[in-house]
Amino acid sequence: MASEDEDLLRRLEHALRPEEVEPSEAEIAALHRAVAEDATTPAVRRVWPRRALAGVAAAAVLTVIVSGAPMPRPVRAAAHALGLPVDSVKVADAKSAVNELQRALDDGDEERAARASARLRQRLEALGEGDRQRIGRRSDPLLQRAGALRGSQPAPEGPPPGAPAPRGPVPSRPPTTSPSTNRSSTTTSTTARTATTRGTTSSTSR
Amino acid sequence: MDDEVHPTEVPDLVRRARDGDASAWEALYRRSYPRLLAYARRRLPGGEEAQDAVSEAMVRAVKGIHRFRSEGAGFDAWLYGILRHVVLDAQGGKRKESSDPVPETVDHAPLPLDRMLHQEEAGALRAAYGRLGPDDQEVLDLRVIAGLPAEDAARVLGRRAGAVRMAQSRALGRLRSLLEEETAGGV
Repeated sequence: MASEDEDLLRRLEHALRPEEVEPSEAEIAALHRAVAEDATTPAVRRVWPRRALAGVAAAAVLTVIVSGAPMPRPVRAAAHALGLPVDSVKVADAKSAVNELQRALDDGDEERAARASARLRQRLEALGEGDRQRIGRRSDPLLQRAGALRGSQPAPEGPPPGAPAPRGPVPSRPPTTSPSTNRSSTTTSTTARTATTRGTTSSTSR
Repeated sequence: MDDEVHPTEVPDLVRRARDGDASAWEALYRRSYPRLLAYARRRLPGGEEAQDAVSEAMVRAVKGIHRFRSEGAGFDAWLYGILRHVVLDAQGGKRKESSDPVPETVDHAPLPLDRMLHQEEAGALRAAYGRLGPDDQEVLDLRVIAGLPAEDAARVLGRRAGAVRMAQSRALGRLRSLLEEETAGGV
């Protein structure tokens, strides 16, 4: 603060110095009444509500964690924000999509695999770099398998992992490459491709 | 009164007040009363309304002491924050300044010449201060009348300390100009 400001403040303080007054008896009595009334309020009621709520919330979250039941998104978000050892909503969503793709590939269901691939790519994009790399260790091979599965179908070529899925109608042709695609039909392959492009921006629609 | 409680005693008084010690509350009240009342009087016309506001603020402080956290701004800033809300409530949510002129410090003792000159300067300062805008006055009231440091004044106003320092500097600049006008006018 500039010294001239300090000087002016000091002069102002002197000019506006409050009167030396004391509260009246009535005002003091009102204060004492307020203190006495406050003393009759149980301390437990004043202090406990927030702590109790936080404790109950933490207990509920831990119960869900221990039971292994799927955690509702708001509960997960709150637990993650509280620092409890649970994945963030985005990470949990990505892991769920990985599991879904794994099951679809295990079942050899091309349509489901295509849908799950698209969903997984979307969710991976929503992650931070660290989480994406961590989950990518498991998701990339699955996406490659899904791409190969799709590539064995009428599409001219399968997309690389993490790349947008092929777009537009593709003439059907017999399966050629991957043995895992033997069970797929041309009808499901077209449907799968349509589903795969869901959630990505189609160049033909621009 | 201000001098009866040393600032270093305030934390202990606050701790006792939190435990419901009426004598601690009374000591805090007597200590803060002159400045609280001066602050309220600047905003509410008529002595009674200002006194009622201070009394109400203290009652609210008693009821809310368990929410006061001693870290951050001090007890005084917390108290002025309450009083500010009480005053705003009394004003019906509208900001308005007291139509009363800034009160003089009453002193009926005979005045030697140098004290008289000081009184003249104080009069010019009060007149200039009364012409400041409400925002300027509010910042300076908290710094000068309430005696709060910039950090605590910032807490009361819900602003950052740096912003309050800037506002204070601008207000003092305007006050200086107004003071020059007052003294040039033959006050």
